[in-house]
Amino acid sequence: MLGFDYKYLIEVMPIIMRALPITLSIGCLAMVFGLALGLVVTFMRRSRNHLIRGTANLYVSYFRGTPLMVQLFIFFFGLPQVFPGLSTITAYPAAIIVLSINGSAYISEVLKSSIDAIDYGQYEAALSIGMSPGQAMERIILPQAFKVAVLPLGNTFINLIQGTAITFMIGLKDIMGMAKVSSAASYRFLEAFVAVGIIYWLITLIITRLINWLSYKLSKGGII
Amino acid sequence: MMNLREVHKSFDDLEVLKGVDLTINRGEIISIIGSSGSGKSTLLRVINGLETASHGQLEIGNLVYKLPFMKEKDKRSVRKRVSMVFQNYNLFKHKTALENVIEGLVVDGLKKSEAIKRGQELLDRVGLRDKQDSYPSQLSGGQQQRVGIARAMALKPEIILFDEPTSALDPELVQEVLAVIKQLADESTTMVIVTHEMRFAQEISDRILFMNNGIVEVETTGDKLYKTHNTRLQNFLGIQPGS
Repeated sequence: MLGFDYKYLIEVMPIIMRALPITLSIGCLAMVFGLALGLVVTFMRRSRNHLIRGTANLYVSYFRGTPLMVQLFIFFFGLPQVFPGLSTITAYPAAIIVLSINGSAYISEVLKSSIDAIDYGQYEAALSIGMSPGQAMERIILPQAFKVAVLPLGNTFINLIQGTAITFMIGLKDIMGMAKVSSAASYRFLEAFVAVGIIYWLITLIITRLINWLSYKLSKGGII
Repeated sequence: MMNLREVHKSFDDLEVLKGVDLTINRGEIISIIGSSGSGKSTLLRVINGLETASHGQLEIGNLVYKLPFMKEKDKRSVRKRVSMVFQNYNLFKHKTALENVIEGLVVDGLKKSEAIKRGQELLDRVGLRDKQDSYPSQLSGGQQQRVGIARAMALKPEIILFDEPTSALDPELVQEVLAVIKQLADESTTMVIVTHEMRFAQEISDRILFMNNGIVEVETTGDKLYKTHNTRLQNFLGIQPGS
C-alpha cells in the first residue's frame, strides 16, 4: 500500500493545468460551431421538404445514438483509410470537428424544443403585421427561444467540456492526457486522476455559475 | 373593397368551408356568428393568409388572387392592408406594449422616432398610454387585447379582422375591449368581427352573417336578427320557433 500522497496531488495540479488551454479551447470552439451547426440542423428539421427534414433527423438520431468515442475513432482512424486526404488532419482539429458535430445534434434537440415552446400564435401575429417568415423567426421566436434554451445549452456545454476527456485517446495532450502521462511516470494513478477530476469539477462549477447568471439576466426582459 | 368568391377549405378529409362568398365594403362592419366548428374563424384566417384555402378567389382593390396559389409575397401584401386581432391576443411576450404596437412599423421601414410617436398615439386611443413600458405578462387580459388592437391598427389597414376578441377574457374585462372596438366602429373603420357577443354584434354591425356547417346560412341585420325564420339560427340564438 502506497497510501494517498497529498503532496503529489498538489504538485501534479499545475502540471495538468498547463493543458487547460487545449481542453477549454476544444470545448469552447465545439460549442460555438455546434451552435451554428445546430441552428442550421434545427431549421432543416423544420423544413417542409421531406428529404431535407429526413436527412437532418437522421443526422441527429445518429450523432445522439452513438458514443462520442466511436464517432471520434471513425473520423480519426477510420475515414482516412477511405479518404486519404483526411489523414492530414491532426488530432486537435479532428477533436474540434467531431465534438462540434456531436454537440450540434444535442443543441438541435434543445433549440427545436425551445422553439416549439414559444406559442405559435406569436408567429402568426408577426406574419399578420407584415413580417416575412424569416423576420418572424428572427425578431419574435428566436429571441424568446434562446431564453428558454440557455439552461439546457449550459448542460450541453458542460457535456462537451467533459467530452474532451476522450481526445487523449487520439493522442491529444489535454488535461486528461496530461494526467495520464503524469500518472504513468510517477505510478501515482489515484492522485493524478483525482487531481484531474477536481479540475473538471471546478470548470463545471464555474460554467454553471455563468449560465445561471446569464439566465437571470435574460429573464429580466419580460418573459418567463 | 374586398371580395371573396367560392372559398373552400379542407383540413385533410374535413371540409370546413364549403363555398363562401363575401363582399366587404368600405366602412362596413360585419359580424360573423355561429357555433364553433362552423368555419367562421377559418374564414378570417384564410383572408389573412394564415390558412391556405383549397379553392376560391380573393379580390382586394384591383388585385385578384387565386387563393390556393397565393405566394408568401402576395400574402404579405394582403396582410399590409388587412390586419388581425387574435382571440388569445398573441402579443410578443419579450416586447413592451409600445414595442408590440410599433414592431410592424419598424419592420416596414418607418423611422424609430416616427414609429414611437405613432405607437404612443395608438396606445392613447386604447387608453393605455401609461402602460407603454409594461410587458404583456404585467397586463390584464383586457389590457393585452387593447394593445393587440392598437398593434393591428398601426399599419393603417383598410380592414381589421377580429377573431373572437373577447372570448378569452374574464367577463368583467369584456366591456373595456368592446368599448375600444365600438370607438373604432364610430370612426368608420372597416371591420369583420367573429364574435359570440350577440347584443354587441346587433348594436354595431351593418350586417350579421350566420355561418353554419361551412357556409353563410343567413345574412341579416341587427334589427332583424331575432326575427329570423331560419330554424338553425333560431336554435343557435336559443329562441323558440314560432314564439
